[in-house]
Parts: sequence; C-alpha cells; structure tokens
Amino acid sequence: MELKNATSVDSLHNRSVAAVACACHSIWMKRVINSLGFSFCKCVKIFCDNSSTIKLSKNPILHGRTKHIDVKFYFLCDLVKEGAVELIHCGTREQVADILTKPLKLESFTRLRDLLGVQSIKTINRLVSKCSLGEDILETSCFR
Amino acid sequence: MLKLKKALYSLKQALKAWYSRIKGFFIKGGFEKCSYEHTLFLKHADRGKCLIINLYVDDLIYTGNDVELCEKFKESMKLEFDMSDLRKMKYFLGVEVQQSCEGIHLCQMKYAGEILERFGMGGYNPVKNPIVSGTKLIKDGGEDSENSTLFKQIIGSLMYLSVTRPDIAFVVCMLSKFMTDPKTSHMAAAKRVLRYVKRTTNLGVFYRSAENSEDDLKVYTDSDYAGDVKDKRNTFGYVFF
Repeated sequence: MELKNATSVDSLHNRSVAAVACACHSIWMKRVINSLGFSFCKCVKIFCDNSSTIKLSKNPILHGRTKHIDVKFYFLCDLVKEGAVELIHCGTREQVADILTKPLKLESFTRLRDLLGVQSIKTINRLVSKCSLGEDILETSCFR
Repeated sequence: MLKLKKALYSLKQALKAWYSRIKGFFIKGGFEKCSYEHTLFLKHADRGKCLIINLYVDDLIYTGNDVELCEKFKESMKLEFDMSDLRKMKYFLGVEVQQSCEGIHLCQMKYAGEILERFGMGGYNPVKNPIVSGTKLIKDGGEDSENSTLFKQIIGSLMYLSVTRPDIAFVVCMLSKFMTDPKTSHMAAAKRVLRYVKRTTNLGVFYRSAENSEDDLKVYTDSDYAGDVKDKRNTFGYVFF
C-alpha cells in the first residue's frame, strides 16, 4: 500500500515537472508567434493525461501527498490563474507525446506518427497535385 | 605581439563579429530584432506590409506579404554582401522543403539515404518500427563492448535526421545515454533504428496550412515515470501544434 502511494506521489510530481517545462516553452513560443504579428494565440492549451496535475493546477491545495512540490509548481498555478495556459485532460489514445516517451506497439506507433504529421512525400505529392500551385512563400539566400 | 585587424574564419570571435555585422546592417535597414529569438528579424512597413528574416549563420530565409518589399530587400543585400539567391526554398541545411498551398513538407530523404550507405545498411532487412515495445536497455548488462566510435557516429547522424523525424527522436535520445560504453544490445537497437529508417526514408513532417487561424496553440505533454531500469530516471516529452 505504501509503495503504491509513493508511486502516485512521484508520478504526479514527474508529470507536473513535465507540465511546467512544457508551459515555459509554450510561453516562449507564444511570444515569438505574437511578435510575428499573429494575435490568435492567447491561451495555450496543454493536453495532459494526468488528472491530478490538472486538478492541482486549478486548485492548489497542499496536503501530505503534494507537500514536496516546489516553486516550479506555483509558477504553473500562476500561469493558469493568469489565463496564459490552460491544462486540459486528454485520453491516452489522443496523447501524441506518448511517441516521445516510451517504446510503443506498432499499431499505436503508426497511429501517433500520423497524428504527429509525419507523412511520406508521396502522400504530399498526391495532395499537391489536386490543388493548383501556390505562390512562392519562402525564399532562401546564402552568402558565398 | 600582433593585433588582428579583422575577424578570421574559425576564430571563436568570428561568430560574434559576423553576427554584429549582419545585425548592424539589418537594424540600419529598418529591421527590428525579435527580443525572444535572436535570429529573427522583422520589418514593418505601412499598410500592414511586413518582411520576416530568419538567420542561420550565413544562410537566411525570408518571407513577406509584399513582393516589392522583398525585391527591395534582395537588392540591398546584393549590394552589401556577396550573395547568391536560391529563389524559392527547396533545400535548406540538408532539409528538403516542398511548399504548396496545402502546406509545407520538410524531409531529409537524401540525408537518410546517405546515412544508410555510410553505415553499410544495404544488406539489412527493413523493419516497421524503430524499437520493439517493452524494450528495456540497461547500462551494464555484462555484455561485450562494441566499437564506441562507430556507435557515436550512428547516433550523431540519427540525431540530425530527427530534425524532421520526431518518430525516431525518443529512441535516439535513449540510445545516446549509452554513448560512453555501448554494448551489443545497444548497437543492435541502433541498427534497428537504421533498418526502420531504411523502410521509411521518404517520411517527413508536414505543416498543414491552417484552415481556421483562430485556433489556439496546442501542446501535448506526457512523461514516463522511472522508465530507466537502473537509475530510475524519468522521461518527458511535449509536442506543439
């Protein structure tokens, strides 16, 4: 029983740390996008598959299990309160980040790979041939 | 004692000298440096026209919503620097780029082919996934040591490939922990990744043009609790959309 308890606490801590790192990165990303002149990016939605992290971020009640969670976590709570980020629960099937954290079975690996947007060049060529050619978007220059 | 009058190539100060040179030129040309990303420069003209430049050492990509502004920028750059114009972006830092109205596709097909050739993967059978599910690799399992230089070369090449291949990012990161003293099982896992790459050389990331630009930024985050058998380290990852 005690072992199980320890796992749940540390798993929660682990996921919270991941969420905080992710929130920091998303704040940076949001600022870059906004400085490019896009204004759509107001609240970053963070999808997490751990409901305790989400609950805790909305309502930071500290009890025996969460006492050790430190200043990083308060940072996340502040961001949630400000409305800069929002933590949303998502099921394991839609959790795309799974592909970056554990070795997966072939079926889920290919499904998540498609969700990630990793596609073969042939599929893209088929897509492109359907629509008319777009204008030049990006140009490169290089110094010699 | 001699005093240098200009920065020489391959000196450690050369990078800074080059950056301040080009930054000075951009600032003079009316650009603004993005305060959150040092290599990003923006220029805003009247009526919402803008020009965006991204710099990578001596290669740069630019984009804008006005043809005139782009042409003017190109001319000024040609006057100031000895520059070659590669027109529409097709190949940048080894990444093949395909642009269309549907979106932008980035892949490293040529590079993947080169890696496979370099490590002599011609005779190996291709596989469908880069790692068998449930695999646990440990640091010191009492196996024979492998050629660590070769292992480092494989991992280094695969790391650059993972720029456009997030599907192998996890395995490559995990294997890079064993770079100091690779064992037989680690080498076998690295070979498996190469066999997976052999099957899927033409994969790449596709950035679809947004149908609804009102969408907020979405991030998926996940972590693996004590995935490492020996030192019980955790792994976490996140993806932006």
